[in-house]
Amino acid sequence: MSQVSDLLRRYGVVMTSYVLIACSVWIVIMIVVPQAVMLTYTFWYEDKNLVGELYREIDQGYAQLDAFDAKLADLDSRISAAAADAKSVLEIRRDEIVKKEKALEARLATLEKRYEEEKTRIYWGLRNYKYLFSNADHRMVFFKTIWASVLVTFLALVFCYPVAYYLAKVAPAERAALVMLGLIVPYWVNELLRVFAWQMILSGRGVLNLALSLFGIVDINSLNPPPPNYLGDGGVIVGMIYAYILFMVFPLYNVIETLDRNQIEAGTDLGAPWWGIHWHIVIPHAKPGIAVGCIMTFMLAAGSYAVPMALSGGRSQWFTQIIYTWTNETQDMNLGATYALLLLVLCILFIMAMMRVFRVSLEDIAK
Amino acid sequence: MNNFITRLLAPLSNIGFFTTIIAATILGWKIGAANDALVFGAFVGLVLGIIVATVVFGFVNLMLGIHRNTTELVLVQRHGAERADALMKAASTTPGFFGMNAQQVMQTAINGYILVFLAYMFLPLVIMVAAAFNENRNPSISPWLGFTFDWFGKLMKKDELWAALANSFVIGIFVVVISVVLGLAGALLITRLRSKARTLIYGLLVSPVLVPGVILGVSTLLLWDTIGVGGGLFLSIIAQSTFIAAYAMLLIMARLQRFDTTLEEAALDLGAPHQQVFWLITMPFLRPTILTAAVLAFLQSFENYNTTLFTIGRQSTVTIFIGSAVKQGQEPTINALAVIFITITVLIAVVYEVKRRAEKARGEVQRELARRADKAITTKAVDIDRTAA
Repeated sequence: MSQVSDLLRRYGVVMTSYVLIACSVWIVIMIVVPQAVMLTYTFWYEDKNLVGELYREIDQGYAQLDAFDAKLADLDSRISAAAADAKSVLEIRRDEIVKKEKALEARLATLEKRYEEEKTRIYWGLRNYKYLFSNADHRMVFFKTIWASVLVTFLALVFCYPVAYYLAKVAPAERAALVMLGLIVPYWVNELLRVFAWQMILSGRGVLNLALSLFGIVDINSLNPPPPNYLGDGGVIVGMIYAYILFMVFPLYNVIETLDRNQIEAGTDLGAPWWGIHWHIVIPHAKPGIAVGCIMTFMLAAGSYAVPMALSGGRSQWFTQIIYTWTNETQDMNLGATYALLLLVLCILFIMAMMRVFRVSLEDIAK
Repeated sequence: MNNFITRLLAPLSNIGFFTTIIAATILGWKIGAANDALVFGAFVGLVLGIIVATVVFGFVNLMLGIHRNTTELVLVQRHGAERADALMKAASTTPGFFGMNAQQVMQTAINGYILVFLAYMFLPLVIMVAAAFNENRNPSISPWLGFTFDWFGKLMKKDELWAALANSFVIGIFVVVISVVLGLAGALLITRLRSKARTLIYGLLVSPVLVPGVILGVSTLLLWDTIGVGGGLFLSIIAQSTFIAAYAMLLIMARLQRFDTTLEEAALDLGAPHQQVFWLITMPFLRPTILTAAVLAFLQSFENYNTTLFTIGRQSTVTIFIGSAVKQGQEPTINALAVIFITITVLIAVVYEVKRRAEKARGEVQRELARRADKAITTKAVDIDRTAA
């Protein structure tokens, strides 16, 4: 409460209410409630099979009804044309059919009522989780997403560290600015387009095969068998590294830049080898940057939809693609929510692990 | 013995470094020429040569321990202490070719590495741009069927692109407004909060940035689905704002931390009403950052794919258009679009850089003038002192 009165004293009534209302709308309607709704979605389901079966049954019932109508019309015309003694036999048959038709209509009415009920009926339970954990394919895809994202993060860190160090501490100011410009341009080119560029490199008649064919390793023009392409799990990982590597460079650069150069020089003067300087001076200082870079890269890789779409070549499936199938194609929102929740939990666990490993707080991370 | 190896290996490894690059380039050139792709072959050779030479000779040098001390020792033995000192000095200022010391080897290695890294970042983009001008109906640089601008014309005739562009702009403008309003409120709140409340609210507001866009999209879709609002522009605006506002907040917060709050307090103490304090003191200080935040919010919204994909419904935006084109992988019209995107990006980057340099130069001129004025005053003061004495 004292904090609110502090706000009032500082900002006045109008500004304080703006700040409080805007922040509560943001937190409640845009952040907390959507996640809470997603969580509740994971605990219920609709019986789509039953609804489908009922629908089919009703459909068949109506088809039968049409058949009865046709038969009746046929009988009516025969009755009017028939002789008196034949008429009674035909009329008996007609009555039978009318009776059957009535019964069918009654059954259809109950079926339709049940269909309407079932269509909106929800069952509470753990079906979604059971489905997720019993589906071996999807489990495999999930674990693949984890190790591929970890691999991408690790490689990005290894590749980026020298670049960030060079930019922050080694390069003369002018050249550093130039190289920086050279990194900002690809950083701002849309992710989809950068991934598309790799599709052009890795596909069958792509640039990689063109380069290999120059050395006679691959025949790019052969029709049978066609030249091999490099799409699939490997292609997706290569594409992810390319697409997300710059999200590692900038956080690293930002922290290494704040390191006092005197510390490095003191280390050199006291005879530390170059790797000692990095291990004992630069890397400890860069911890928050490493944590941010790793979290961003991992999160982008694990949640990437564009890269698998362009580079899986229809040969490998990724977790985000399954989520998309559930929410936008099969329209099973409950399974979609469950899968999305699992991805969310994975990301939260990774963030917590990074915070523990690098001993940084959330405030350090978002600097 | 050690010195002998050093004396032998230092020049050898440096000759080897450059010979490898030249040889690889020539080899690439030759092989390329035999396959009607001369420039491409030479280029591939050059890049591979730099990689191999850096790895082999740069690091071999380091492993053999050719560091400053041994090099100096060799020079002292050869030329005597004084001359060796001069040579070492010369070696540290001129690019070393023979007898590079450890630092210079590192330098060469890291320069080569940066070159490779930049090539890695740009090569795919260059290929994509080149294919936009190839008459080939598939997006590719081989076979090269001739230079053409056709794909740009075909791109301009695509109605769905123009509709998507309009949608992107509408979404972008709304996202900018919502993000700045929310981000400013968040920044003002958090900079004034203390202790636990601060950590909690800060964590909540920043969380959308640390979570995959897919999850933001799905959760927003589910929430609004329960009250009957389906996917479309509105949902995309809401879902995008959720995390873009957090970026705006972080930017504004960084600026607010450098704000001298005594200014506000002084104004309040002197009886200024709160609104006046905000509009005359806080806002002018924040204005440049809010502008930056607005521009970045628009770009973020325009470039967003993951969150939009899940919330856009049957509508389309530019990224959705690109996404479906990439999925189908058809004509080079998408390469033409890439050329336009990259050109705009490069232009913005160059303008930004030129502006930054101009500002820096202006700052230096001002500093220099101030320094001179300072000096003039000091000398004047000294003169006055002298005459007084």
